Amino acid sequence: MTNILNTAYKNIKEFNFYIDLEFLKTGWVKKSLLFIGFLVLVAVSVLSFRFYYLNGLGLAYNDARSHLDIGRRVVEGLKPGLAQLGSVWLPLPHLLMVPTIWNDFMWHSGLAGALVSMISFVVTGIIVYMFLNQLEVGLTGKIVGVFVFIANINILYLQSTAMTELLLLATMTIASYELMMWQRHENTLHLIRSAFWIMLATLSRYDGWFLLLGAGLIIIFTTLRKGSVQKTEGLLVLFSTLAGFGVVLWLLWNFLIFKDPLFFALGPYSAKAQQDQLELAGVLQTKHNILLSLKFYFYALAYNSNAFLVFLGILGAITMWLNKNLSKGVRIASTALVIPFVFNVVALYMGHSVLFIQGLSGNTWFNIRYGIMLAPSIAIFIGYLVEKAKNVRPAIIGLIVFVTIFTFTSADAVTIDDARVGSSQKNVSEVSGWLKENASNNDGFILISAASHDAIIFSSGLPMKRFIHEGTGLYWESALAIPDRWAHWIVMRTYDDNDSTYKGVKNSPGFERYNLVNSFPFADIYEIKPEYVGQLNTNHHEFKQK
Amino acid sequence: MTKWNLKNTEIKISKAVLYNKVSSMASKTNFYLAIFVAIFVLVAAVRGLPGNPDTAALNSQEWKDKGPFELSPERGRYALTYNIAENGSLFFPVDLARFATPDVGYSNGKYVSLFMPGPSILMIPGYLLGKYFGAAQVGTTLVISFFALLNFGFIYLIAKKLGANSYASLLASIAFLFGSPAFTYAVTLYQHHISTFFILVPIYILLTRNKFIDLACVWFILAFSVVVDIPNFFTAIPIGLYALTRFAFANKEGEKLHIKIKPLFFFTFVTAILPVAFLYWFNYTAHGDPMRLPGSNQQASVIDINGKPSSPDSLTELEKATFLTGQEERGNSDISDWFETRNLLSGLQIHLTSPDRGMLFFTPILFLTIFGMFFVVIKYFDNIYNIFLAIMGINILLYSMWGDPWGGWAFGSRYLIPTYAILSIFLAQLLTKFPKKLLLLIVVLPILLYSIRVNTIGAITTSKLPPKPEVLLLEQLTKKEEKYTYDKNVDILNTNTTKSFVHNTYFKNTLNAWEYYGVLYVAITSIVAVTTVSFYFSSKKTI
Repeated sequence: MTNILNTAYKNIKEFNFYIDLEFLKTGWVKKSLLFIGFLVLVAVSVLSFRFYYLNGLGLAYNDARSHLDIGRRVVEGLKPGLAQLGSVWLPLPHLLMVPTIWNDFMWHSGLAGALVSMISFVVTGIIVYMFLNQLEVGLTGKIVGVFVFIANINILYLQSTAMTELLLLATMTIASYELMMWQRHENTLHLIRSAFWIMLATLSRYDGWFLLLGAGLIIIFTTLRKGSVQKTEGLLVLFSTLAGFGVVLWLLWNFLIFKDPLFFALGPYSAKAQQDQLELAGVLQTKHNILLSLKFYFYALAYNSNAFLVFLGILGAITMWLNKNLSKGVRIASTALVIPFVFNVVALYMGHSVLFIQGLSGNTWFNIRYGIMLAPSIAIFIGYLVEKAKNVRPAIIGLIVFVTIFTFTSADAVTIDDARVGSSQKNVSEVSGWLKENASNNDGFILISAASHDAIIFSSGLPMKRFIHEGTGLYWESALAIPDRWAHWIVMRTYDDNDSTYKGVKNSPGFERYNLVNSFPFADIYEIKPEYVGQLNTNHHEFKQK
Repeated sequence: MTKWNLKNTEIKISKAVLYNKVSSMASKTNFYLAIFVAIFVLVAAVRGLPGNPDTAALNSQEWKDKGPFELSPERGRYALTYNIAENGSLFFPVDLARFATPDVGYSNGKYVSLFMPGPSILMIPGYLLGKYFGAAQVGTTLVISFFALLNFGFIYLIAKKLGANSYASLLASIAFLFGSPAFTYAVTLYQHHISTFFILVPIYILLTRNKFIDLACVWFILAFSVVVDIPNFFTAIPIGLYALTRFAFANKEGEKLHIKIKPLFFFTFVTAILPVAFLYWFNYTAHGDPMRLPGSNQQASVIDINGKPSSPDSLTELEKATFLTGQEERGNSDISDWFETRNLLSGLQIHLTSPDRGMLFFTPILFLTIFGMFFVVIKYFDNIYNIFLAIMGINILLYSMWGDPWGGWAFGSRYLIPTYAILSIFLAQLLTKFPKKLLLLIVVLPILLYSIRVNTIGAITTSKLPPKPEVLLLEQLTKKEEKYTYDKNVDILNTNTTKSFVHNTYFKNTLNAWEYYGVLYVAITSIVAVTTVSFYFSSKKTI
């Protein structure tokens, strides 16, 4: 009996299992892992969009609504066409919306724009994985890298909106990846690919222009290091021809449409014009103050990507750049990952960009989302750190999971605050609601400045062809000159010359034929007096454009 | 020739044995001397007043602002100890509740503690013993000092177990107890040393033992640590996972993953039931709901002359009405609301580099050890470092996410005391393993002595340093300059004031405050000097 009990005790005392890990090395498993990763990314992307769509936050950013309107004006409105792409924002995000924006649901749900962001999200996640793969990071490091990227609540929010950040992140990360591949495999095809993606980045956001410059310097430096001036020249020409094509196109576009190649930079709707106003108001704190510029952007980084993860990312970057097992070329090329940091600090210092950070600049947020630009880079650096710091890997992974859990339990998405309570938001529901209620069942155009009130146009739910705005050519010019023949309603900020509608109609005799029917925080609404309704043009077919 | 060689070897061996014996004796003597000094300094520094105060006395300024109960966490915990010992109840009578404000909960029409019950229960023997000798509060506080002393010992033991030189381990223990804000919280009524004890003990058990009963103890201690303070749950996670690897682990062996499970060891979890059951009973009895934690009760910050709580300003009118009837179902806070990652950046800055709480100013020796730790981890890795890093990471990150990273009015970053303990262990490793000992000591010693000075002054004066953001408002109220750094402690010492029980009771007329500080400082630095010299020579001599 004792023997039986002893045997039983020994048997249940310890169980040993062995799992053969050879299968992990087989080709199909490797491919399956990437495919599973892809499915996870798609699922996370779709669920995030659904979450923010259902709670109405997907359209919280004023700019998101403006982007959707720009895309929509290309296919619908009083004067549809590519010219509606405008001069301030770069055209690629809006062009990519065109295939779906014609559909009212896609326009008003924001999905037309979010789809671009969602695809970019999935692609960037995969590139993070592939980047780490090329750096010979093991499975754990790759998974952690991708996890850090996809568990960034600000990334999840922005990928659910029609904002342009995710598209830029995708194009920049692929460009950096190809640049690294070019150095790693010494294959010029990768450089050409990198140039292509940089070109797309330059057509997405102006950050891409700095990447163009930075990548150019990396090419010069890495090639000159090997001692060949001629080769450097050749590669630079090859790279610049494709990578700089987008910039040249944009300058040409501005010249052809607005008669000034630098209209986007110096025109009345440019960021510079906005910054000049802010400077006059004394709130452009970072201009010509490098330490404050660094501090502001570091804070933006920490708020977007979690201070602890930024710290780990810095450690990872140092580990990567000090690792002599990686070729110098790869390490130099990998510096492309931090070019957005340099760009943003320089832009703040030069006064071309502005950030409001709660606690540093009053009690508000503005443009805090610029801090998201290093999210994929931080993910890559952390993945690399996890690979190299094998000994303390459990602690690092545990702490990453720990802070990530608290990010979600405390719903810490600074970009949502930026959109909802910061200077980026406008609660235009009252004014757009008024228009929806009073204009949808009545004929007549609405005269409004899209530059100032795109969010009102979007939120009204009215078709674009009901609005006369700056992009409608002769409609706009005629309506400003004789509003009482064209506009049933005028929506504008009275006494504000920055509102081009007010600036245009304030001296027009026809403006006296309107009654102020309502005033809201962001705009006043004027309606033509009943006795003049009969003389209004209400059908856009009656008017021939130039 | 051979014979001569043999003789020579014998002589060498006997010399080595003798040397080892002498050095072992010297090391032990040094340790016991250090323990003696630690006891002497802790007893001499412990804050308090003689007597067994009743609730009326407790509410006087002599015991509160001017005495040992200057801050609400001390009052809240003492109130519960007092109430259990004197009244056998978990519900505060009005006078006692008034003493414990603002950290008093109001649940179902009764006043309850907002703190976890563990520390108050552990302090009951000290209270009773103190009461017997006519110093109930001092006896209670000495329980905390006792735990601090145990932590001193466990840091020494753990550091030694991990291969540190015994003198280096002792210097590390001294750096922890007297060179960090741990000193102040060893002589006042806070739970931090108990929490730290419940971190160090399971680590020591896991490093030295591997039996069924040992693991059973570990689970019991980890579960009980939550009864001491809720955030201990988080620091218990890495230790729990480490303990789990003793009977369920996976290891990559070549191309195979080896999974080993000892099913019988799962029964060790049973011991965790007892503390959990106790907590459930406590919550049920005190708050009417086993799942309702003390901190989630509505806070009764002020009690009016009728003995009724003034409702919190944050409540709506309807909630206020419900609150005053004492019938509200749930408190307004959820654990997940307590920690927000948005606070992380400012929290880290406050804990690490701010002049009002930062490690850089209050314990520069351990702040610099953070950098030395990288050397140790990279060059001399040990698996347990993962647990150390995880505990420190969780401790620092958690309290950086906390809405009040300053810990209210406090001396240094009191929340990071577990981190100071772990960093001290790394300091011992650094001292032992860093190749250029003299250079390291030249850097470490002055910083250690400075850290001891700061914290000795803090321990015997006050923990009541306001957070920097409150200072401007405070100055408007008091119409005078308000200091938020340890300069305030120096100012108090300059007014010939200490809060030391021993000084105020026995030496007030013979030693002024600075002289009393001098006695303590010399006692600590003497043992530092002896240990440092011994360490230097022991590391030079090898036979």
